[in-house]
Amino acid sequence: MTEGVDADERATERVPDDSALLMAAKEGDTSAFDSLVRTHTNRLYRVALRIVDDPVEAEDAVQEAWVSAWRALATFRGDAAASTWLYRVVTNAALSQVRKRKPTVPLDLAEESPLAAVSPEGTGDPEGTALREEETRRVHTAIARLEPSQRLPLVLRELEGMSYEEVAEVLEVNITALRSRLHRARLALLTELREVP
Amino acid sequence: MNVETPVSDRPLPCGHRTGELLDYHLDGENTALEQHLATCPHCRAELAEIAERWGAVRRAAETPVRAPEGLLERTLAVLRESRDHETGEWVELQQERGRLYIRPTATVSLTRGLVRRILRETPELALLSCVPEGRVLRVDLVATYPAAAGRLLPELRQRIEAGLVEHLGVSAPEITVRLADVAPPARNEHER
Repeated sequence: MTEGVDADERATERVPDDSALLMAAKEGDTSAFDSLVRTHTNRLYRVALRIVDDPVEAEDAVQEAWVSAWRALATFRGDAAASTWLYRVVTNAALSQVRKRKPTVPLDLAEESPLAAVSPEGTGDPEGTALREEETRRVHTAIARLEPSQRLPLVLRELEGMSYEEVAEVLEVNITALRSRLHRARLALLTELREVP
Repeated sequence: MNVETPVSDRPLPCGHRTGELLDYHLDGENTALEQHLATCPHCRAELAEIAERWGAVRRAAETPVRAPEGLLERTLAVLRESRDHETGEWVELQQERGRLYIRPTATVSLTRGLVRRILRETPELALLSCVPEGRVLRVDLVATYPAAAGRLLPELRQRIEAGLVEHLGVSAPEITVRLADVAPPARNEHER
């Protein structure tokens, strides 16, 4: 997973606990479910924000994701990792937010991405921090310009650091189809990065 | 959205393309290309340019994303409201010094606990889920073959209802008990 993710958020280390909590929640244990919400909300927010590139929509997506997850508990059979299931729920919710948008005039390339507010911690190097913020803004602006079918695998693989197998499971596609989508997504992002000032 | 933007999978003078080099930069796993790179200045120059541009993506991935203040509290509140909305009705319990109102989620929790306690005596049955359906609480069970579920379920339903009435009085919700799944017997039991 992404190096920027705190160690305690790493999905692989939480699989047994999370699956047990989901199974308990499936039996009606609301406190088990709330415990999952406490553990994973920040991570789901990060994924949603990277997909929708709007803090308000990202928060809506996270809340919609948890409500959907609660309603869909019966479909969790424990054969997939809990984190995979949660990633699937939040990517669907984020995609739903993107689809709800009314058609708008395309963003100005120079318009500030909300993710510009996602800044590195203070480093005592204001100039370096500003440059890093600017660079992050450029990347997220470029990602936000990709079509959703490219944005989702790209965010999961290149920003969240998931393996091909994990991304394929989250998006419910086979590896061959995923490689093809990701190849196009990477090229599209490279094109955008060459164009974004 | 940029569906129309032509993708820059440009061919290089040597015949290889930007896309190949980009995938190689991110995934490796291309021995033939690796050998070709040792002698091709075009590919090496393109790869260096890709590495420089993609460095920004790597750094963006490492930049922490801070959730907004109060996100967790707001999320839990939305979730609880949604649950209460869907989880049937509040139970009103008459007491000596006034009425006690019991949340629907508490009723589900109580039912789940009761079922699990009762099922300790019948290891061939396990609780699968306990979910509200309007005013009725539906308890789904999984049985290990060949449990005599037909005989056990009505008795189980009676015991759950009696337990709920004991705790919640006449306001206790109606219960349905279903056999939702049948699991194969454990291997050692099968061979016995």
